[in-house]
Amino acid sequence: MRSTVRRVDSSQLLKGVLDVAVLAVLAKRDSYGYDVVRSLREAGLEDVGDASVYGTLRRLFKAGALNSYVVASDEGPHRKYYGLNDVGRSLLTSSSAAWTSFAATMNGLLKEVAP
Amino acid sequence: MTVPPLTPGAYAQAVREALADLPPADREEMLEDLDDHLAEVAAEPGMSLEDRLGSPQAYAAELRAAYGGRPARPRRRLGTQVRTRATGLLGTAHARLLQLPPYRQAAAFAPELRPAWWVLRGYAVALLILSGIGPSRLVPGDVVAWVFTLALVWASVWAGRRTVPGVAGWGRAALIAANAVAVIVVLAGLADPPMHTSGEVAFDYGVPRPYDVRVQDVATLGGDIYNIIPYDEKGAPLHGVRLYDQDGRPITTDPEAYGRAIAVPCAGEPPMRNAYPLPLMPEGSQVGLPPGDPSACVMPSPTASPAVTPTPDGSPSADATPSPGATPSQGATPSQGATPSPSASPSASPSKADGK
Repeated sequence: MRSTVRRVDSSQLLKGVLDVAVLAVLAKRDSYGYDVVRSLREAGLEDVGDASVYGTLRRLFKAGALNSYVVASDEGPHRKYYGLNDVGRSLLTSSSAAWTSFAATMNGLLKEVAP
Repeated sequence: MTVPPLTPGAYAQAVREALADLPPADREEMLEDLDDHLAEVAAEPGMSLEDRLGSPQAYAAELRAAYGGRPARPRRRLGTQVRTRATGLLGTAHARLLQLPPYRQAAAFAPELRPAWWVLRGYAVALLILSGIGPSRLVPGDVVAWVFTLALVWASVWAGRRTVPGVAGWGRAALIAANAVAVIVVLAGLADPPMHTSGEVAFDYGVPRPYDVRVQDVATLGGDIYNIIPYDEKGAPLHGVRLYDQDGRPITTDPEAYGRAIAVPCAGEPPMRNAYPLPLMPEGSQVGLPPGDPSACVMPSPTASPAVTPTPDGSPSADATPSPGATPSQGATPSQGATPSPSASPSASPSKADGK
């Protein structure tokens, strides 16, 4: 039987926290899809996928956590901006608390053994 | 690059096609501003869309995963799940059994047997096909059958050598099916080999008789049957009782196989093979004389045992004809003339009784 040992890599971890990461970016300011990708990469999540961010934005919007509006642009395409509504803000608060608690647990666990 | 880079519109279209299995409403909800988004990405100088984002198919897959919701192609997913679980169970069993040395040795040795299986597989499939055409046998019957069999064996080995690394799709399915059929044929052949030995009562369908169908367990009292002595309800012996099966075919026995000969009267027709009791020569008399040899015939004489005495006129008489109620199937009634000939026996299609 084949067994798999996974080395932790950031793309695996990112799958679980991309929602809260996108919410965090939008909490600072309203943004459009590609701008969110850029913000995440500038924040250090370099291997975040464009399609992942786009799909996450559409899913959060469908779930009612975001509002959106189109901004016409003189040069280039129209941009659909997304921003947090109340649902999105409460989702960010609870997700953030969950992450903080989880990260603290992991840090405590690894501090005992990691050099 | 020889291929021109995809425009945002073409890229978006390819993504839509890759997601064509989703309900249109869901898909449009997901892809609503994909074109604008891709135009934004393409406006970034330096790289083509494909260099930056990968193939449209990969993009679609990532999008599908991030958007969540309906899984792609649920039926295939289900099939994959079942297959994964099945292979998982088999793998676990295999791993457990590998702890047993005999199994380990057999598993290590099994690949060496593969070519032998290829040969057996081709042979078995050839025999199966041949048995659909003619009698079922363990060896091909004639030169043509042998050539056919060898061709299939060759094809089986060829397929085996070619597909060892593993093939996908229809080829694999066909191969698995052929293997399964071959396994069944081989096991069935081992369990019930086609036999061609005499011994039981033979139901003779006259000539030609491509099939030997035998009814076993007729001789439940322990002996083999080569003659039948009928009596009527009052216990009086009957003569010239003609027996037919349900399809109107004469039921015959094979006394020659037991060293007994049918007594042929010197005057008149030879007795019918299915008129019982058969007029057998007394035990110990010469067997194997050619028909027509004067010494092979017997004169009707009162010294012969009553059971084997032919009817006085030397031929099955009309009074021995089965009564209407016992008449074999329609059209199968033997001619009522005083000299019925074997050609009057109804010809029934052998396929009906072909139980193989």
